[in-house]
Amino acid sequence: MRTSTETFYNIRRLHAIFASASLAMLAVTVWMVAADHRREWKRYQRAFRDQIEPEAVKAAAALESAPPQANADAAPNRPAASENTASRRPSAFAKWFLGLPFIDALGRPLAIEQIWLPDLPIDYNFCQAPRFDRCVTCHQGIARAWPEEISRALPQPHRPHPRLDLYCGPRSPHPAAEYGCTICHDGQGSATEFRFASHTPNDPRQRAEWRRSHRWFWNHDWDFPMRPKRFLQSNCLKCHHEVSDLEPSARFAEPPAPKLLAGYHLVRQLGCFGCHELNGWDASGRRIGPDLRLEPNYHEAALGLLADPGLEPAERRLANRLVARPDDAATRRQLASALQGSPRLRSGSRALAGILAAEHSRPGTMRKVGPGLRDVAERLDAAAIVARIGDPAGFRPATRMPRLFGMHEHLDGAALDAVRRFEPVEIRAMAEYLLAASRPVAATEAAAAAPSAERGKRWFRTQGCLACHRHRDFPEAQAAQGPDLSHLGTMFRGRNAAAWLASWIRDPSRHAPRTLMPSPLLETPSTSASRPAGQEAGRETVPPHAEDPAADIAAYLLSSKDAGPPAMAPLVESDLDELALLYLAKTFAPEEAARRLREGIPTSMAAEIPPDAAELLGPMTPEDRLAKKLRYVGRQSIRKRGCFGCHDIPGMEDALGIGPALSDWGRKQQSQLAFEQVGAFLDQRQDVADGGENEEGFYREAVRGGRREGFLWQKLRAPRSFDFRKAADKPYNEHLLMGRFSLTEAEREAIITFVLGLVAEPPKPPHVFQPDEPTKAIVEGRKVLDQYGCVQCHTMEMERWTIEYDPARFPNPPPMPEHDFILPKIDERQRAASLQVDRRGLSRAELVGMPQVDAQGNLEETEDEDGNPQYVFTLWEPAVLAGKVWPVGGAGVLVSPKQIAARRPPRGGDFARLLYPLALAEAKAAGSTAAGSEAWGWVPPALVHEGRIVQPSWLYDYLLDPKVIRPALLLRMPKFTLSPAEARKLVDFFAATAGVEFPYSSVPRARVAQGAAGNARQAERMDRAMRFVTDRTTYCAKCHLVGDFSPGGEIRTTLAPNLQDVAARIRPEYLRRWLASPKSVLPYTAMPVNFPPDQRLGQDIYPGSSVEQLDAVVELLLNYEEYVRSRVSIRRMIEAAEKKP
Amino acid sequence: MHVDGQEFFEEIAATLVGLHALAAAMNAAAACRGLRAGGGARHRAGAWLALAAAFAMFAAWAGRSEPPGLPASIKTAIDAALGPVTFFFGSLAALTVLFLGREFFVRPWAAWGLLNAAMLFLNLSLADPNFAQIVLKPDNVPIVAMIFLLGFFTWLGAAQAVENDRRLRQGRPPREKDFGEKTLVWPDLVYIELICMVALTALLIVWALLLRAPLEQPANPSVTPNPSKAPWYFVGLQEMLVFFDPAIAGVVLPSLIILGLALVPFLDFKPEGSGYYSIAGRRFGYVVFMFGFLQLWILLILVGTFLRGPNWSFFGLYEPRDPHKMPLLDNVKLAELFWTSWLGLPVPQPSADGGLAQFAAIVWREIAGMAALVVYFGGIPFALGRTVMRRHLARMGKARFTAMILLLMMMLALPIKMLLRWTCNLSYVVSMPEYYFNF
Repeated sequence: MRTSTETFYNIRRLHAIFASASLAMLAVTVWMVAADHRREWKRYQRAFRDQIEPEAVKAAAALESAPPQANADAAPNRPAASENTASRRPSAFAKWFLGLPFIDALGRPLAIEQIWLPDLPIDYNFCQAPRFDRCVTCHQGIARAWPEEISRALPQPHRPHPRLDLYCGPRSPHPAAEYGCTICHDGQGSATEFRFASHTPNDPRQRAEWRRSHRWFWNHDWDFPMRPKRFLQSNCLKCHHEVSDLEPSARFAEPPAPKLLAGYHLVRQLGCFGCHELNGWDASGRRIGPDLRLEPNYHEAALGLLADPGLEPAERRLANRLVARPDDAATRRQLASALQGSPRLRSGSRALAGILAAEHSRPGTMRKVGPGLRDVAERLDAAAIVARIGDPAGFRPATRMPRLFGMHEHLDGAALDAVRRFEPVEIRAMAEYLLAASRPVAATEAAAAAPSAERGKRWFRTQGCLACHRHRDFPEAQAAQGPDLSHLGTMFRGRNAAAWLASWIRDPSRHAPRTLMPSPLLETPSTSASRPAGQEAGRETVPPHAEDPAADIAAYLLSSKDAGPPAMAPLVESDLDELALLYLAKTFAPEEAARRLREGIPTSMAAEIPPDAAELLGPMTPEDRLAKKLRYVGRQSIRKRGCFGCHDIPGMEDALGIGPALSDWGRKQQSQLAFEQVGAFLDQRQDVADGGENEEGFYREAVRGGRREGFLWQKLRAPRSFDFRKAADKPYNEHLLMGRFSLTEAEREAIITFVLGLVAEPPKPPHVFQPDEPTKAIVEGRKVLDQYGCVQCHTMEMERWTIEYDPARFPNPPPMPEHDFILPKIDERQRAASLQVDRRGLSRAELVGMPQVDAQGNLEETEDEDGNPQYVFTLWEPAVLAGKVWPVGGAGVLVSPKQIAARRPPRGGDFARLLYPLALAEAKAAGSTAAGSEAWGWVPPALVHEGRIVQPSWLYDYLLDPKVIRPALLLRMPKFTLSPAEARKLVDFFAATAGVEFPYSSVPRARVAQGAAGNARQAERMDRAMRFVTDRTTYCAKCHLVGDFSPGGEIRTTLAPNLQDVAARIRPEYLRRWLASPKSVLPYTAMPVNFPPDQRLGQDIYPGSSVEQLDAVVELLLNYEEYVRSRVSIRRMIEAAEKKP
Repeated sequence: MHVDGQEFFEEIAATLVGLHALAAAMNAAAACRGLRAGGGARHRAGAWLALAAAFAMFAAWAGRSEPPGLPASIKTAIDAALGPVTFFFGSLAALTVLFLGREFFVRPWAAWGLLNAAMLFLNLSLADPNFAQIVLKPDNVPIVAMIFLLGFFTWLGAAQAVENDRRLRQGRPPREKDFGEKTLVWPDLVYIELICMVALTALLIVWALLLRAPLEQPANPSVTPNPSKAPWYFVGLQEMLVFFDPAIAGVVLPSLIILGLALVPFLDFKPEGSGYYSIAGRRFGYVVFMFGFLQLWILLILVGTFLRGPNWSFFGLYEPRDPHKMPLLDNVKLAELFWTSWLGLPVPQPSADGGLAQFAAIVWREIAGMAALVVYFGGIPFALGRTVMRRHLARMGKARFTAMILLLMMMLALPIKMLLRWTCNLSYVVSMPEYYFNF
């Protein structure tokens, strides 16, 4: 082979190039290893392992005197890994060696950790990508149960989850190993770097900070960016479809999702579902989210049919029945089949019959939130309606009615001119249509008494109106269940407003069958056995109908007159014609439309024209032309603007909500959001800004970024601004229609949180929240409670105080004689737990009950011997304090303000607390000497233990048709328009909350032994027991009504429930307890202890121990009817009757 | 997409400082070299030094505040010039100027000036968020680098060809002959290969460290990315889809490209200019190849990469990529144009019976397009062979000439179709969807 030293290139130069290339190679290799060694997650893991964790563990140990047993909850995110590393902990050298650059790339101890969730895939519509959450790679301490003060001080990403009771911990309902992170938080779980995990800043400040510290950017390569903190709760909706299961509960007293719940309640209150369908089910019948749909229009269709003169009497009867009970499917089908093909009906009625014939497998349940307008002319005149529609908040600032007109800030030029011309015409026409379509309902019978506003004011205050309504005369009542009634007199100027209002108060459902307002069952003093003023109950000495509370209240409400609505602007008929032609253009060609408007639509065309055009049917005469045109335009405008979404409006029975469905809105493609020129609008109108700069900045950026939250924010704030610069190219009738609600910034955000959570992608069943039977009953029951506002009057959960005390110095409970079976049982563990102290030497305990209040209803403050303030806390549930049991019904616990660590207010019962001072004052004025706390027995009762007390079947009947039980009460339980299904739900709710056997199917009774009369001993026992009942000096009959007997007396507050109903009402196991120790059940009761364990009383009536006496009375009351039957001899009556003549 | 100005400047600052500094360093090095070389280079060194100073100043500027950029008016003008027609003719004119002025442009200092101009344009344009967003996309950075590489190699080839042409004019052998034709495998070839290997590996590592691959999500079958772009080397083919039926653009034309390239040795059998770079010796071949390669392949890739945005609409370099920008789609077929606009008659509607009558009716409907195709693929080549290309025909023989001229006409069909679309909105010359044939 020929060799040569001659080369083509300069070898020395090549050597130099080679050397530099090699050096460059070396340099970049070092760079590569360094970059890997310094990867973000490795730095975090090193910091956590070497610094954060040891220090936190040390601090936790120092903080807790007891061994940190809670740490068993720690580190569930790597089950296999943690066991392995624990069993063979590497030596210090190994740790150092394994942590060296390049070596550390080979794996442990620093490693990417991930949670693999094949059952919780990411939904890409047609493909389900398994979820890999590597968040724990950096968030190493996420599940460490360190004391809160330590956790909170840790920097991110090392901080443990703030709600370990709910998330991450293995004993929480969402253990990290099963749920991962991104199912709740969203974001890119597979990322191991801050920037790529799609973290989303909560506000511009955080954004700027993240950009600085993490080079944060919007990652467009991930469809599901992490929820910013403010919208975190949205994702609860994925699995918690009922939403009300997210209310605080005994296990999770800290509210799990308050903002989401607030949004949910707002959506319910504002009636968003009137326009936007919120369907909880998808087409295949799978549950996808909260179900808030309007109920089928059955009752409206029935009401509409009743206006048809062609209806036959039998059909009319059915329709009337359906109006009251729209859920009665049998009646509805009967009516629908009767109407099928009936030739007598008007053409519009045939569509109504079609509504009745439609079957819904899962009908909606929500009622329209606005008042029905079928008899609106009775109460409002045209000027009032025009004022109300034009500016709802002008009449009632906190109104829930959205503003639909007069929002012009986005308009200019011709569009502004058109809106200015047409809107007043529309409003006027709508009023005209409503008045013309209004038909009076026969009013309820009024008492022949002159109404008195003064009396009315008192009734208004005491008869429960304030439980739901507000009035400026009573600023202390802040209920928002119903509308504010302060300005009713200003508005109600209809032809017989006073009579209508009185009739409405007497029986609202007569005027609006689906109203949520209950019939208050007001009693005139003449018919009442419970009124003060010294009348003997049940006597007929009082002249009938001396007073009519309903008429009095009506007079009172109408007496508050401010300046009336402004005079209506004159109608411009040319504008009206122009608008009418715009509507007619949808049906007719231009020339024909003009002719029809001039001459009317011939009746022969009735079947072909859309329903609203029926207003123009028949020849036009000069007299009725204007009215007809107004009615036509009004009806069209009502249809266009969707007023029927909230109000029951005649002629609109078949109309459907005008807004887009929201069931999957949270996943709506952002590219499909029609932002139009909103960005430009916001830039131009800096002045329409509200809210803090930081909040505002967040949303403005969201608008600019084209994100859903920005869209919603602006939609709720200035819904029409999406027409900015677009309205010029749109015909008037195609302008945006969404109204503006009066919302605060916080409310808006709550609604956004709710709507963002509406994603129709439920995880697989084991992950979706599936409540057990009692929980389900509670969830369902809560919805009914919310709907009817039961909690306004009744306390559902008592107040809770967490106290911290020194067990060594805490007083013992005063001794109290009590039957054994009454005393609460506690075990050693509870006792020991109550003696355990923290490093400050304090024990913690939770007190459930109510603090004592003074005559004004304020917290009563006493002083101990050293002059320090103290509160008296009346227990409703036994407490274990300093190793001692404090039973219910015993002495109140004295708590000094310093000892109170936390106070959780009671749930519900605001009105009862409001009424308490009044009840007390009234009783005092009437001469009662009762103890202050007894006044709780005269206001709507707390229902915390109701399920334990009453029998389900009785409760069911009572809810549907309430009767007087406690004559002492200031007001009666009103009668709600509950459906049987709703009553059942409430019954189940009470049983479930009380923790009694569920579902409660049968009530075991202690039956009197067979043939009570035959068994002489048993009969005698019952007779003796009966003597307790009939004893008027010491025992039952002193206070209780028994059968037809009333103890009467000067003061009604001493009257107690009728004993003949006890067997049907009270649960047997409860009755014994109640009779033995009433205060251990209801601490405020005035009922005395009749059978004390340590004394033998009443020996002349029933000789024996107090327990024997007690059991005899219990047995008697439970078998009262049978006993009475055995005492009544029909044979003797007949014989007596025969003897008489 | 809205971009916050301040945030953008913060993000772009490092890149811009680096690029300006690089340009400054290159010019400084060139100045040093020029000063040492002496002669004319010495005079030009002053210019390079001035440029270096300017770039250094820009670098400092970009690092401190709002970076130096192009004035809005120029950006608007460039965007306007980047309409399809102006872009096509503009680039064609530029290539023509480069070709005609090749004697001037192959001088190193002229090329250096062009490089400086390109860098200045790039650096100043990067101060625009919309421009930066496309150009700095990690996927697109290599394509930008490719432009420079392509420019360099085209220049290198052209420079050598021009030099060879000059040598041949002077009667000297081409430079390839002078430098000898043989190179030693060891050490020359193996050594430089090793060096390349090491250097390229280092480059790849740096590339991987600096341009992070985005972590994207699993493909979502219900959401198509907008725009959906082919890999960069196929973007040119994708661009053809705009103008041709998918069967033609996706199957026939690519096949013909390969076939045509394979046929080159058989069509171009001229011995002159073989084995070394030369233009004068094979002007026709050079022009055809460079036109096909640069204008019809590379430029289409650039169009697809940088100028096509959402919905495959044309966007200027500085224009926001607004997905709502919708081109007016009023494309017409030649048959409609012919029958309706020119003759004022209704377009014949063939029956759907599928028989011979239908075929005849379809042919009748498309008669104008068919005639145009016959003229284009038959008449024009025939006329060319008789007139301008008489010498080609004589030298190549009928078979070779026919193959060549048909390939050539096919190649030219692309720019012609583009022009027809842009100017007359013509979609298809012949459209027979009944037989799945559109052209």
